[in-house]
Amino acid sequence: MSDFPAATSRSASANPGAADPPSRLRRVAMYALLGVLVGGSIVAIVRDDKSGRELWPFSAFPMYSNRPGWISRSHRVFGVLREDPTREIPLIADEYLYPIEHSRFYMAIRRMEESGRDRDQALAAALRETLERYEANRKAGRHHGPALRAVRLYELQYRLDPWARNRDRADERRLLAEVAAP
Amino acid sequence: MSRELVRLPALRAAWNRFWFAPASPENLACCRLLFYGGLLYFFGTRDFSALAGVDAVFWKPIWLFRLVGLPKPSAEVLKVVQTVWRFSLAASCVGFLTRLATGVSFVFGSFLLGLLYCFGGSGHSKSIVVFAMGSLALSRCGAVLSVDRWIRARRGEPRPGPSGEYCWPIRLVWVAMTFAFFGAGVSKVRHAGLGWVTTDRLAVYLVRSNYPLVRDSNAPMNDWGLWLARHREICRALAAGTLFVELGFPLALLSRRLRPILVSSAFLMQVGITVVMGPDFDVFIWSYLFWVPWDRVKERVLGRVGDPGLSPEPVVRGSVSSPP
Repeated sequence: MSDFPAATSRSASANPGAADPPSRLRRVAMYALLGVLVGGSIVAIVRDDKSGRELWPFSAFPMYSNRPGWISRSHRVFGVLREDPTREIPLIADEYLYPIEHSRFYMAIRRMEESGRDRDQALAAALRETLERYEANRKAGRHHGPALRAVRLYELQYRLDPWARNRDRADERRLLAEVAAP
Repeated sequence: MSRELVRLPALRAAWNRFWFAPASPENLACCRLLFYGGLLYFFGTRDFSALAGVDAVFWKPIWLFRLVGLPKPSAEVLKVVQTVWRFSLAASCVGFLTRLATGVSFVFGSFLLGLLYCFGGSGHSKSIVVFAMGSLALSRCGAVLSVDRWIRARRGEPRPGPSGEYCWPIRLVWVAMTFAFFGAGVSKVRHAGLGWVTTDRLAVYLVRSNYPLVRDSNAPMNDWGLWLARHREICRALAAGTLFVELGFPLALLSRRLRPILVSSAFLMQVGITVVMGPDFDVFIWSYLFWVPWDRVKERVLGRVGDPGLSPEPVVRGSVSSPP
């Protein structure tokens, strides 16, 4: 016997607009999933943690909900070129940070900066790992970036310009941490 | 009190109609085919096993992993899991052993997608996929347009007719998307208040997107955002429109008239954000396919509404009721 409804149930046949509920077991499963979705979503919306500590897969979807100003501060990692230590490149492309995505990488760095007593150790370990991973990916041909001798974490400050004329040079730059290749 | 009691059966009937109105099995089957095909496209070549090589300093498991006690997996485990997931996505797409395939897709997919957020912090662009996979795993989405159906047809089993079985899985994805938009609207009002509309907030976001070392997402497709940011009134109108769509999105569940307006507005809003601000929303955008009445699209495309010769198989019930 088929597991599928070969025809609409009697009630639906009599009235095409009427509901035609599935079996009790399937309804229980459906309501359980719906309950998890609704309950989890309500908790996430009430909690609404903008710092990235979400209750995945539930979320308050807090995109663009904070209060950005025309002065912007961001922390970014730069690589120091092995061939020319006076030059640096920003490590913002996904292929440089692979397999961690750009946004998640900087979320992790921010979390480490905010962590208490282990802050410096954690940051140093993270930067060392970033440098090693960059080089390993470069040697494996996953990106075509230049060879690096060190990585530096900077705090950058921009006064945002409506024409973005200063997009390539920060108004202020402060070195927060540095790790060199062994 | 007595008036409320009178209304209860009507509410219950409306609730049941929303979830279980007889719907064409083709509609759900099209969603299955396109949804899993899309997941294969988005994740088919992604190597999750590379995450095993990331140092423990980045490992910050999400609550679900902590709850189950899942450790940082090895590359070997991840290779097996992602291979099984890819096969299950392909099987779900074509509808082969659909029950098993969709179940495996849900469990393994949730694990792999959750794992992405154990390094750094969680995000929400892929969460809709978990609920869509869960919904399809519990449904009879392989009833038609599937290898399973082909096998059943060879055994002489009749083609299934419209049923409430094919309505609720799609509605569940609608509810998940509704929470996404409504939550986003509530979050804006909560953290920024009406200032989100009355101040330069959107203009600042548009300008930030054009600073490679400031933005937190992909680069925008062009610098039109800068032009928009210099036109305050346009920015404020767009901000107001965004809030209206996000907070009003629950009405898409209730009103047939507002549904196409709200859903297409939300879609255009997200495409607009991708163009001028950068974030690509990847699989979230793909989930809009659940709002498309594929059976009616097919009728329109073939232009043969009501033609009994349309179906290659005997149809038990002639008319296909569309959900309200």
